[in-house]
Amino acid sequence: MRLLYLDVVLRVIGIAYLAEFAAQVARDAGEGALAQKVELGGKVLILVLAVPIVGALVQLVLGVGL
Amino acid sequence: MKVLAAGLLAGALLLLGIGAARAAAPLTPAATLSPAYGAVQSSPLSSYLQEVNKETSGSLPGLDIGQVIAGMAHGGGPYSPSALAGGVWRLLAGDLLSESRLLGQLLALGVIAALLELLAEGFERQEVSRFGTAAAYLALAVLALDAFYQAAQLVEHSVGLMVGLMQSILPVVTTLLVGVGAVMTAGLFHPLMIVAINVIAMLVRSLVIPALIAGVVLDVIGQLAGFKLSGIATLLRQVGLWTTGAALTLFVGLIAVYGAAGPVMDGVALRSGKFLANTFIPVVGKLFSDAAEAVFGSTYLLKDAVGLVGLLGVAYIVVVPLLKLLVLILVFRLAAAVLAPIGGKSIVDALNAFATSLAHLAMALGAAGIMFFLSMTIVFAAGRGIWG
Repeated sequence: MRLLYLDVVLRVIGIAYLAEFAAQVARDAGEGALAQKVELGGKVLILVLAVPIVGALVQLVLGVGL
Repeated sequence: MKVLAAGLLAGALLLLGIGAARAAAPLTPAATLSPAYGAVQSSPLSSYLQEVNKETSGSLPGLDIGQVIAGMAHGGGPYSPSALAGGVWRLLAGDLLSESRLLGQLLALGVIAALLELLAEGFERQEVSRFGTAAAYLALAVLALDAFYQAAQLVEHSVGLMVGLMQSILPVVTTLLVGVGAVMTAGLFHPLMIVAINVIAMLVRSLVIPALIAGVVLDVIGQLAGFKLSGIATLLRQVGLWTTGAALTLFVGLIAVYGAAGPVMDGVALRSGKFLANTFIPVVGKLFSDAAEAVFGSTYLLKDAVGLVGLLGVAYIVVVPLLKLLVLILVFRLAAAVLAPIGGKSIVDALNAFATSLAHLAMALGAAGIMFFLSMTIVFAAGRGIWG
């Protein structure tokens, strides 16, 4: 089982930063609704990327019962 | 009456045999020991010792009954303290080396997560970056949980090993106890010990370790979910600790009572037996009690060697996971300390929770080890002072 999700975490952080930045720019341009869509898109992307990590965690927690 | 006479005759013949053997060859320990020694060497204990030796992966000097006897015959300990200390140091260095990788990974993930938090502080709203931090926290939790899980498995494995060692050493020691004349102690010990060690192993395996694992899982998930689960986690850890403490107290009490009762009865039984033999068996009675004493005395050596091997075996079994646990605790505490100034609170809290749970795991293992060690000591000391 691959445990160090370094690539995933780095990607997640890049996406988070970009989405946050884009949403901020949109908000600065007075497009609050667009900003919210960008944020939503970023969250969905992060969740999709984090699925294997969550899967591994759930597997560990469920498999723990010695 | 006829039966009694036949028994007496047979006994007298047997004693004459012993007497003849005694006259033929001086009673050296080796000469008296050889049959019993062969039996001990071919018992399951020897093959079990090989298994224990495998656990230490050659870092500690190998356990061998023959070697211990040879060492004791020369009046010294079986193993030099420097060899043992060197072995422990090698084990510790190996653990440090292998766990430094975990430390690096934890630190890398923690620093990355902290970086995101610092970057996100520039924005007025932090919607997406919360998700990002959570993902990084999850990755870290997976790493840490896996390490914890492996440590728990190691502890469970070593408790199983200790039970196995006790179960393979007890028949040998009880037989040898009969051999030194501690019949009463032998009769008391065997069932008591088997029950006690199995109860301890069951408690540690099915109550303490699961409680500690559940506690740490609750802590980790609680940090993630944002609602407070640390109360339940602490309670579970306390349950684990209390169970360990209660088992230790009960066990020590039980062992003390039985350990005190056995030898007294043995002394009475043997002394009256010796007196009866001296008084009521004409001519050879005195010979019988003297020969018996010689045989009992040399069986002592073997019994002590087996007991010493048992003590060392328990120490060997405990020291491997204990060192691993100590190194892991150090890794988690170090990671928490380094990340505390830069990282998020949740990560630091989780790392500290892991370290605490690992410490409790080490305590449970230590308590189980002490119980097994004590029972070995009692077995080791049993049968002493019967003839004194």
